[in-house]
Amino acid sequence: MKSLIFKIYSNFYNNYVTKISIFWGLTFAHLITSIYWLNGKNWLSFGLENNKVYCYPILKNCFKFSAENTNYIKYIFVFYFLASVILLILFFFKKFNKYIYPVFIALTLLKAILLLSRYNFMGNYHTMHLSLCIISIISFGNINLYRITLILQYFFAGLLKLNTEWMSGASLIKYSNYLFPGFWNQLSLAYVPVLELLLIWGLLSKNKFIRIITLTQLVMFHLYSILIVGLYYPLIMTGLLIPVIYYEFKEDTIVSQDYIKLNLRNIISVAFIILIITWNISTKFYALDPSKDGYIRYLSLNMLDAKLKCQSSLFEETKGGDIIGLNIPKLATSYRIHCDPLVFDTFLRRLCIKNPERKFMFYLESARTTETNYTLIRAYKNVCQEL
Amino acid sequence: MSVKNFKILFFYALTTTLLSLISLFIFNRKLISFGPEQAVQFKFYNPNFFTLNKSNNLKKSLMTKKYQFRNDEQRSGFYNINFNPLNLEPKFINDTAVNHGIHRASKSTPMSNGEYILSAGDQGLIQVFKNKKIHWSLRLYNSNLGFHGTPILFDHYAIIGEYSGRLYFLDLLNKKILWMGKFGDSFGATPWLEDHYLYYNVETIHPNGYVAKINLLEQKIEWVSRLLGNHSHSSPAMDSDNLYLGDNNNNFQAISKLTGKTVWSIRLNGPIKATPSIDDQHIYISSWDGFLYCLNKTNGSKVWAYPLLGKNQSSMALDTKAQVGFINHVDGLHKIDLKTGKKLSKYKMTMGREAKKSSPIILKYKNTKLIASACFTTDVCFFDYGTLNILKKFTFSDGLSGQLGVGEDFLMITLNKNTPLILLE
Repeated sequence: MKSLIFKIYSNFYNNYVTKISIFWGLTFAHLITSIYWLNGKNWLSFGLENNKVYCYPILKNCFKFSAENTNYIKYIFVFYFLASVILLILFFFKKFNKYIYPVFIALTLLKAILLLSRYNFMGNYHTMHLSLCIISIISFGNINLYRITLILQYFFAGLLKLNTEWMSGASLIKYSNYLFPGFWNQLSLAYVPVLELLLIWGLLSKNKFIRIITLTQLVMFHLYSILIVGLYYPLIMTGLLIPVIYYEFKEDTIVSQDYIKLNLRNIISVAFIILIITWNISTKFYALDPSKDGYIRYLSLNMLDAKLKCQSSLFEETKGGDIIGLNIPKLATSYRIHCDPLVFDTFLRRLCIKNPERKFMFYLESARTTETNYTLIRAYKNVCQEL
Repeated sequence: MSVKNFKILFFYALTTTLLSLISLFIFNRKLISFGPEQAVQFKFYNPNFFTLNKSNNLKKSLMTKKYQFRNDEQRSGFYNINFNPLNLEPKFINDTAVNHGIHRASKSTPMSNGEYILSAGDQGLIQVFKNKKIHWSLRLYNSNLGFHGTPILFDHYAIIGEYSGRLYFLDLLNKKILWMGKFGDSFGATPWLEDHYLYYNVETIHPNGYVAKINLLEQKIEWVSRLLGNHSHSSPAMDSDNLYLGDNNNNFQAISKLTGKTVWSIRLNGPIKATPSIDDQHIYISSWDGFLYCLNKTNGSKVWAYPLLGKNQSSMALDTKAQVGFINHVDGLHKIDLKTGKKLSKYKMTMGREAKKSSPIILKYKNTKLIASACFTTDVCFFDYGTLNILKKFTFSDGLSGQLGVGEDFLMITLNKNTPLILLE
């Protein structure tokens, strides 16, 4: 077993220097994540009394893992930040290069744990980043597998944009027409799914010119998106694009050179890619609308495809048989999750833990802002029994 | 750049633009053709725990007498009663406040069908009293503006619209919400129930407001009107052919009960928030433009205009036999000749902020008629039908912005804020 690990590791290390560039971009994205998460509200979400903690279904009672004092939790985030900085620096010192891979794995593991511990941290850029980290770890930096995974992320993001909500601009956090006024703004919105669904495959072209055009468009797209979504998202995406850009300038024939060999790690990598495809396609079958019902949302991309409006009602049936409508406190304020059923589920679970004897009824209905009909998302006849 | 690369770039750009245009056309077409039918927000919700009973019992109940806002479909505000109102004295039914002074719109009028009394408040509290004792207390928090429309009562059922745009169907006997549906963004007006057809006007954020007819037994939309262009707080009055209502866009319209098409529409000079009252040939409606209008029912042409000098949203109480009407305004209670539009008499008083929005009602007991209405600032008065002199006056802690509710042997009052339901009995 020991020799097998050594063999795999040696095999990997032989290509270490050429492969390592992939990890630099991804580490940069780790650094951006850590800066983003250094915001105090993140470690406060581990506080015992914080009611604004939301959980993934796999850790549905995540709010139980809370601390009376969040002071030491904040050091985890500070540690994540420092580790990202140190890892970035290690790239510049050849004698420390051998530590990059294991430290990178540890860093990715830490991000995954933090990400899963609280639904509050949910974000598509994190899902994309994590997927690319995992594929890079498994494939030891195979640029082609990296490219395919990256393309798939854009592709599925593009699929989510094939609707009026995106095309009209209604789903954007803020409507920007700084560069493209009027109709041209509409056209630029329509161009995004074309880029993500079709043009993105140009990254696999044998023609370097097409690859460069494709990369240029992606960079321009993310630069423009700063006006709408702010800095963090485009910066993380830049981190994810760095390996592809780097390889483009480093090795002209890298596509044919770094082909996918039939070996164990590549088989596992391909299996992981198939898993990503399955995750993203499955939501189309299982979910009413992934932006509304949040179904396995953490496994699939759910980008700026929809801005939601929703109505929720909570009733209590008293022992005397009366039905009383109850007030639901303001839960998540971020519009991307303010109608998310997982947010309400966590609130209801907490309610049931405090009031196990009481019978609550709950329902939630949501609609995209460009939709006229609301869809019933949750209808619990007896919340505490059904959750 | 080589010629080859230039060609690639040219075709690349051309194809990209074409594809973008095609996708814009396909997916944005819906938005471009965003018409009234698409804009209307309605959907029947029938979650498991809110099951509308389609049994014969409900059918039978829907055929029983319905107790509705301003008594009849003409919204005349004329009530035949079998008790002497001058013998009544006020009494709080319990100690729970109905309204809290939220929002400046007129408050919901309490309703009674003899067995049940239902009051709905501006913070979502519905109280149901059976034999004048609290039977069911239901708090609904879907809107921070609660209820401003008036409930419809029949048998042991009630229907009421909420400011969240939801309509509730309540089973008062079994204390259950049988069914609810979201039809728009807010119900400020009161629907009308005729047989098993419900006519309602609801506000939507954008575009603004519509009227619809729904079949309650089949849970089916019969028709949806064109968009009104602005919010409609005016509860519709109707005859056998049309329903009549105004909106905040200064328009007053007649809409066919059969098809939902606009029969005619006229434009006044101010928003119309009052509920119209109608007789065989005419419609009486006040506007924020400072006039009370008499309109011809067939085409909406103006028959006469009575100057009120200032915004008005009071609904006129009609005595069609006597051809007189009564309306509140900031300067007092006006009695008007329906034929000529001339003032017959006026009780001059300064009406408070709430009282000036209120609507008078006519109470007929044996051969005596009187007018019951908010008066001054926080008072409720009974006026002599002929002279408009005050026969009796009650002073409360706050004003009445709606109208008095009429029960079997009592009257009901819900004040603007911080007061429980008051029974005059």
